[in-house]
Amino acid sequence: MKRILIFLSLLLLCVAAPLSAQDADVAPGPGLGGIVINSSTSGDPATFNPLISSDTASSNVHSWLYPSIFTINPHNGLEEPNLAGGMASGWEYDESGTVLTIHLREDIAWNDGTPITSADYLWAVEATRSGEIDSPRAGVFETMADGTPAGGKIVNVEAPDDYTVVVTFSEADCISFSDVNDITPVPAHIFSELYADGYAGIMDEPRRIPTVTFGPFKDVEFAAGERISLLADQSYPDSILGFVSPSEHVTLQVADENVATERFIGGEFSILAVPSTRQNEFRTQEELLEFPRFEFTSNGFSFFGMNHANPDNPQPGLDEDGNVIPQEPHPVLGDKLVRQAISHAVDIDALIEGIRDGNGVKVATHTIPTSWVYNPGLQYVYDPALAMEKLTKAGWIDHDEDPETARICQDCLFAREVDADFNGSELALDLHVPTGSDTSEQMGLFFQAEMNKVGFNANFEAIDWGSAFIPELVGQTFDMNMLGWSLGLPVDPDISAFYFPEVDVPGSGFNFVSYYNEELIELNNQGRVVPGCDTEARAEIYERVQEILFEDMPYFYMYVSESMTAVLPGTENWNPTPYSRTYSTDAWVSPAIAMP
Amino acid sequence: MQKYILRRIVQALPTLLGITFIVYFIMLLVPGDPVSLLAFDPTLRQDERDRLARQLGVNDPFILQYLRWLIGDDWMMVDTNADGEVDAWGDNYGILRGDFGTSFKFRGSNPLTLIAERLGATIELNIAVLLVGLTSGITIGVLAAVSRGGWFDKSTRVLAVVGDSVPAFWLGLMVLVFFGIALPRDILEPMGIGNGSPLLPMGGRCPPVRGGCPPIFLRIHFLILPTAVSAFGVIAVWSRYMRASMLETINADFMRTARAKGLNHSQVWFRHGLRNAILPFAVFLGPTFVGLLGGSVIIERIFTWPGVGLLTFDALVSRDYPMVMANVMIASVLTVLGYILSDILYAIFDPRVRF
Repeated sequence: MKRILIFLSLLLLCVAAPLSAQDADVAPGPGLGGIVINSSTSGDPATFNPLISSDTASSNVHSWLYPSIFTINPHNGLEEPNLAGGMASGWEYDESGTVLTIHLREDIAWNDGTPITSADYLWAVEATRSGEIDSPRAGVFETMADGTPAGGKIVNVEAPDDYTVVVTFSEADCISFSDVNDITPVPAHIFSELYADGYAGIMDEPRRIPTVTFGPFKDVEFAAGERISLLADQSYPDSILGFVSPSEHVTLQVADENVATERFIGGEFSILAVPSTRQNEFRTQEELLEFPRFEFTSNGFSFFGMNHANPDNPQPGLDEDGNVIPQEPHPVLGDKLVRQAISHAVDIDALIEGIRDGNGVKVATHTIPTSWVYNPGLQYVYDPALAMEKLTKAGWIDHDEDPETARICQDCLFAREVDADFNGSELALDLHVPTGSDTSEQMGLFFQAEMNKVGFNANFEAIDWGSAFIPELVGQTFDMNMLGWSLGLPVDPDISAFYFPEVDVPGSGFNFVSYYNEELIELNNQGRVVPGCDTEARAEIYERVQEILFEDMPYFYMYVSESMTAVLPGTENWNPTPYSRTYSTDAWVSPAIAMP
Repeated sequence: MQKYILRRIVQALPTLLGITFIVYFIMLLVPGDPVSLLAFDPTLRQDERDRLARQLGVNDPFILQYLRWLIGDDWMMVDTNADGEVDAWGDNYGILRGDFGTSFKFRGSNPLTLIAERLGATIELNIAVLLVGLTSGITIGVLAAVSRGGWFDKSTRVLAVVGDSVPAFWLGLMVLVFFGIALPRDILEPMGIGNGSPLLPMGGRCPPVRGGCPPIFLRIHFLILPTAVSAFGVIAVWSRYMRASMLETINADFMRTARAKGLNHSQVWFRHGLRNAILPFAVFLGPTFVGLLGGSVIIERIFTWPGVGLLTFDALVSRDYPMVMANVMIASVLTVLGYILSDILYAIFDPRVRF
């Protein structure tokens, strides 16, 4: 018994000792703003080297440690010169629109005191272009160093002096501007020594801890599956207050968002991206109202992709000579009238209110409310009677006068153009969503019920992302699949990655709905070469692009999520915007974190 | 014994080879490919995705992929710059020469290094679970058998049913909310413990801030919740096994003899009964421990325990073939060793067993 008592006493001491050793309250000042702890579901970073990173977790880390050429203004979402963390002090195109001259700031340096110059960008460019490293960004160049085609539009990068970079593009293109930013400058004086034997050495040590950095935090401490800790870097010249307030920035790996939410409520994290299913708790529950929160429209949208081509015979968009291959239409969705009928059959307002607790803004094209080209006038009209009228017009008739039984084809598009034996077939299709989200499954069931009310035989199923959903999506063997696109910043209305025949490639392309429209392609191409990339001129072109997408309905665009971020009560200097909730982190004064 | 062990190890080699072939074959049969999952990004062009596929070698025929994993590719010309043309000798040595390749997801990282980073956490948690689970399970089982039909026996039956049927993810979330949020934080303040923080950490293995991971005795409180939830099921199962085994032993001749010799109850039950009743468990011990080394996806997910389970699960989901195969190899070798260990333990515990 005595031994048991001694053991229990020791156990209690072990629990009690850390409980007693906690942070005291914090005060503003360099490194006196407490510890910022956030959670991440992205897993461990694959690398700490920005030249080879392609995963979100890695990008999240190096965004604190490296500069970029251009930086996004957190207040308007646009790339602007002379912003914190950015190297550019200005830029201009030549008359042809193919030569971009970027002037660099002369007042920033790596944290070992070495000035940040064009040589740092050039070293990163040469490493990426060398072909010796597996960089996902090599595709921004027209050719690799050995002349192998790389497919991009950057022909050449030069540095006439320490504070000027000249980028030459193969053609004028507003989209290629962002490609310049894909290459992250690295400290050339350090990297050239480390990898003196060749760039390939980068691949041998993907998790090498960076020693010389530029940002509000530095000095990575990494524990696999657990955390990434960064310390304040008081040498950072772009800090908001003139010093970095938090002493440490920690990212903890938390695989489950509900667990992260509970731990945040328990006081273990400083900030939380509140899951959509938990947002109402923060709006209504008394004990959670004290958490400061910021609600904003996110920069991505959810949709049901509608396959335009026959899923039994997926074909590429172009032949070997680059000519468009005519494709057999989808038996049901190949007809624009049917797609439009679906837009009238499903009450998206009810879906947003009932399933998403009101957390969403209805959209009907690929542009979102925060975009400079958004047209709020384009909205689907919920009208089941009109849906049934369009189905009848499309040759899908209600043969038994019961609107809820499946209609049958009577001279529908597929019967007219492909196979007359299709007459008499049911108006049937499959609706698929990926497993793992109750909300998605509820939305799938809602679509099924709404569509069946007007005469569809829609069969809903939630299927595994990796082994079923993605293969049938990219394999183009689906009917209607639900997905969401998160759009990067700055948001551009270009549609070439989604609706061009070049990317209609069964097995890998992202025009998996096999949709293309010649007028749309022509307009988009015009929109990319507008002189000076003037947004007003581009907006006029993309107005028409949106009208075509609204009419043709390659996707059933549903909604843009209303997102919410919350911080611990007592957090100071948190200034969230729709474009960034964390840009002011270096000024935060964070309350003491609950650390048992 | 030594000859027996050697024979078992030699016999295990073709088994291991067979396992790798079957698993590799099944892995490639599963729909979905690594490139679609790794590069599900519309901003990547088609040629970039093709390039990635060539770099990873996932478009090669099955047998070539398997051979490259098994014996390496330094015997063949490969496409080192992913331009579609072979241009140099390969530089992979294959699993038979100790080269586990590189992870698809964690580009350039050795799968063994990635597993080793997390093995310590897995072993730590599973030793705790095994210790708590077995000692509690065996004790409860014996006491239930001793008090057969009594209130304790009946309540352990309820415990076993609950422990076996309550899902770990639910129980985990409940204890997390209870200890982290619902339980008043000043409950231990009269004893001078705590200052407004949760009584027990809601996740993690070490304090979340810089300073590394202190020795286990300084962070044992991080182990309490995941161990308790994980061990609950183990206790439920092992207590019932132990009870059944103990009751079977009670009726053995040697127990009657022990009683006839005039030994007291505790000597009869614990010196004679328990020692014999526990014997069958030796067979399970090796594989059980090895099984636990695989980690638990659910416990690791809820308590943010940085173990091997989630790493393996993520590798499966993202079709990271080298990572999956490294895990399969380690699990296969440990399973074979676990069974050999069981045989050895059985021989040690039961003098009648000879190899």
